[in-house]
Amino acid sequence: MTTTAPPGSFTAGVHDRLSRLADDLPELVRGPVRTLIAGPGKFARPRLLAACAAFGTPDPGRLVRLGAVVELAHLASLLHDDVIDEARTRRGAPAAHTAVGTEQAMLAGLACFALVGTEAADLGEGVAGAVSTAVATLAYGELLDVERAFDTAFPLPAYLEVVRCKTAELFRLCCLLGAAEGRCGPGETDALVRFGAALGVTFQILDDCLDLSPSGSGKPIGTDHALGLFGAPTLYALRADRGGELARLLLSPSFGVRDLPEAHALIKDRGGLEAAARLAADWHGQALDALRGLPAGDPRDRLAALTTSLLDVPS
Amino acid sequence: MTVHLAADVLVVGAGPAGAIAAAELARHGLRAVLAGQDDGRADHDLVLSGAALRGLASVGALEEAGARVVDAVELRLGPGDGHVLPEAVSAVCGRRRLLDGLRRTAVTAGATWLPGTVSDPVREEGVWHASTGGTTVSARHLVLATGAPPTGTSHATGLLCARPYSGVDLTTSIVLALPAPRTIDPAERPTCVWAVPGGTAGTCTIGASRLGPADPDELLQTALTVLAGGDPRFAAAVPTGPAVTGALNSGFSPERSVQDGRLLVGDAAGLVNPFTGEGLSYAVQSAVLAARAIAGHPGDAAAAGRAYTRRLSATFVGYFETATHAARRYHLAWRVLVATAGDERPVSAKVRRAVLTPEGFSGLTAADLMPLPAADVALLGPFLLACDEVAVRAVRAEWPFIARLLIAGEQAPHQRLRPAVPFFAALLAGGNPPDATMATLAAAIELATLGALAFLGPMPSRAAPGRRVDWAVASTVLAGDFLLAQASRLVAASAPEVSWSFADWLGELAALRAARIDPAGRSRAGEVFAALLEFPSRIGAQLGGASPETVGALRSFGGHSGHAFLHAEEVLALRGERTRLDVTLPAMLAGRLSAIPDDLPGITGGLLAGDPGARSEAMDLAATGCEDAHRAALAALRNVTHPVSARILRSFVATLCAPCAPPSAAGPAGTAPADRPDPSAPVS
Ligand SMILES: Cc1cc2nc3c(=O)[nH]c(=O)nc-3n(C[C@H](O)[C@H](O)[C@H](O)COP(=O)(O)OP(=O)(O)OC[C@H]3O[C@@H](n4cnc5c(N)ncnc54)[C@H](O)[C@@H]3O)c2cc1C
Repeated sequence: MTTTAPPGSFTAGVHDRLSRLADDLPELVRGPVRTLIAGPGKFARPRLLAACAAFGTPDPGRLVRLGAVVELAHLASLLHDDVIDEARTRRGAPAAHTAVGTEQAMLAGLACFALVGTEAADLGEGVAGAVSTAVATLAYGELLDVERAFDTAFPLPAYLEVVRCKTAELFRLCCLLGAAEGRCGPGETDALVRFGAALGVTFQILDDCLDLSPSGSGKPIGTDHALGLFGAPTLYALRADRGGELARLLLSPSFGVRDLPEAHALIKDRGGLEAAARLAADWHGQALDALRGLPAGDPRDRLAALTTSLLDVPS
Repeated sequence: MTVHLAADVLVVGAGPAGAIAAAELARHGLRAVLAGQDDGRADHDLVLSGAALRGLASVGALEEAGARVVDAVELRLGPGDGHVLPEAVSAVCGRRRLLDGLRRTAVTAGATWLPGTVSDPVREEGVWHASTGGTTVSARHLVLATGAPPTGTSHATGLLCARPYSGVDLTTSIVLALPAPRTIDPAERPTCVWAVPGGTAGTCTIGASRLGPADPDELLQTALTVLAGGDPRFAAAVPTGPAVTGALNSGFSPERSVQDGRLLVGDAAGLVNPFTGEGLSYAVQSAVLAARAIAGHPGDAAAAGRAYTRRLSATFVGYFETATHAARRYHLAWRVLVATAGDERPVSAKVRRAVLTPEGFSGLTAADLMPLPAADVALLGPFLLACDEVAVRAVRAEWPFIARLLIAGEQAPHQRLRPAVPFFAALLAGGNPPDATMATLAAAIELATLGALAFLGPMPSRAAPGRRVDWAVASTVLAGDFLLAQASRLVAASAPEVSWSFADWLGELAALRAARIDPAGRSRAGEVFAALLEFPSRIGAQLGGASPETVGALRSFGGHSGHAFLHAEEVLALRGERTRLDVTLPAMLAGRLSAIPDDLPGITGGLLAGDPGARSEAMDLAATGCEDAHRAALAALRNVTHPVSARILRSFVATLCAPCAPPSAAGPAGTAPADRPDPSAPVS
């Protein structure tokens, strides 16, 4: 889980930049942001951005700052998600709202979003425009995700819309910013953006599968199911749940982690895991298709390797 | 023998919307034919909301309605006790009497009234033809006021019922109830219930509505169960007449309201509140808008249709404009309303009003209108309309319930207290008329102010633990993030050079509020509000090219206005009146919004309520604070040389501070007589 990056590496640079930005936040909103930054993180988004920028010749200093912007946008939405979901922990530490209270955590998230805005603006009009559009999509995704809680009849296309807005949008942004920083041409940019969106969807579907069984990733399981946020395997299984057994279990007021094995069995029995795996494979295929549209060579190989490591679930 | 009538406009359907459209058309000098068949429903009582009363009064039809005023609206959301909706004026009238009165009004105005069913109108060479009884009518324009179609758009169609009862002790108030969801299943649909006192003691009318398939008997039974639960006034209710039912159509969208040249008004256009069944105010307003659109383009039906769509989209936001997410967003709104029922935070109160009542308000506004000379209104009005248009367009498709916070049949939007006003005046201070594209930035500022209020107000308390969504907290975060993100997007798209300052402002607001709620308490209460209004003044001045001194003056003006705003809130709250933010005194104190405890340490809501001495001390403090801030704001304006800019800003701050002026004063405090034009002067 923790990738202790070698000093001087890109991720270490991003981490440094994040710490510096957080240190400049006003004292009262600083704490929760610092805690999050100090926790273990994979820096998936900054790494994706850098890998895309490698198709051109990016400025290393700007690349680190851009990486920090996308990571910060991710952290800001984590702070607010945890307030909404009443999560107890985040990245191994108590979630911000349990440590500093709901209102301070909310304000820390707001300050974090504001910091994303000033940093993005500092990096240029194009960056500010792309980042603000993505953050708006993210906020809408957050709405879509909350309002569908406990919906056992949530249609797959609507699920994919949530995933596109809530998860894939940031991946897409990373690729867009990376392409822009690498001064890629329109053809390459387009391929990278399509790649990012498809990768994001794949990533989320696989993540949904993880909520059902221990994976060694250290992520607590069953959280999303307890919150009524049913992922692809469950939604597929619910469509085949003729007797209503699974729906009844999932909507039971006392549903908790100890019911997860039963839920898992019912979902598997109804073909949910298999169908979700097929869906993930389909989106993964779309990502690889987009990748094939890029010029062969070192950058493409490294992006492919990063894709594998991001999707390699237990890593 | 057939009679032929050549007219300018044929209005089909003689319900409230049709009758008012015909009356207004006739008043504009157009030949209007009002043709309609009674729907044969039994007579029953209707609730007239404040907006419906104002609408009827504006078309001179209030007398005819024979309305009985009811003192209060009791709102019961979820299982808790009801509370009285502040300043909600309502009345009751009989449908028969209202219809007869409105049709008389139309005839008196000069419209021709033809009772009977109208054949489906057909258009030939730009002229509509239809017949009713022995009469054929031809007209260039067609208005359809035929009521709710029995089969409408499935996601927005339902049933409305009403029935008279006796044995009920309801005399001075209307009850509006929205029961809590029974399950966590989002497929559940709410039944909305209301009761209005009857004309004689002990009687009332009970009404209910539900979207989706419904059975009238079951619906009314549910209504009675909901009302009688915990409310002894309804325990002995027995029906005394037939149940009246009708279709509920809430599928309004501006684009669907003009169909192949037909202008749809009232229920035909889907203008009904799905939560309350209220449709009369919309029927009145849409009829007036249609009549004006036609009067503006008497010779061109297509242009009239376009004008009508435009006016509608600037006036109303529907509940179900896009079908895709309609059901889930409706469910979200219901759960949020119920979860925040007892919640007196500004945002909750505003949302309740926006979703449940037809009257408008926005951001920082209540009913106060700024007095401005007609010439200034002519300058400001179009800018603010453009601002509203952008703001509403940014959110209406994705979150219509929020868009209703921005416009909802608003009266005189260009004279309301809103952050876009100081922004506009500051733009003007540089000497040039503001560029129309700046309206987008104004919209961003207003959306951001609304979003900021979600984060800067007191927090809702956490819901009881259990397997559920904490709707009160979740909706606060969701709405705040959504609005601020949309605002940032608009800024980046329209004025990228402001992106940094804009984001920095949001960060400043977060830090100020965090400092304010910190137990160590090092920040003054007014600072958050000062920052809220300082930004529009500063950015406007900079973008308008004002000199550095003027920019400084306007920053200072904005800051002082923010402090004045807060003190005016305190004065209103101390008096027990409705504040601009719809917040009560205890909520202000609990949420650390008020500055009173800064100077009177240890003060509590209980102390203020029980101790007249403490109360008057607090009142003095707030009023003095407001006057000081007002004076400081006016002093800052001495460095603003542009006369119109300074005049608008003086009127703005004077209206902000009006609650603090001694009641005897003839006008808003601090306004020089020359600045006080006749508020009844016509506005554009
Ligand atoms: C039981 C019930 C209770 C209600 N209670 C309230 C309330 O308390 N408060 C409130 O604000 N709203 C209430 N409403 C909603 C309100 O009645 C409507 O919103 C309002 O009447 C809309 O007016 P309208 O003119 O658009 O349509 P309607 O009042 O429906 O009028 C349409 C008219 O057109 C006629 N028509 C239709 N087709 C033709 C044709 N081809 N030829 C001739 N005539 C035709 C119909 O017969 C009808 O008379 C209630 C509705 C119902 C059903």
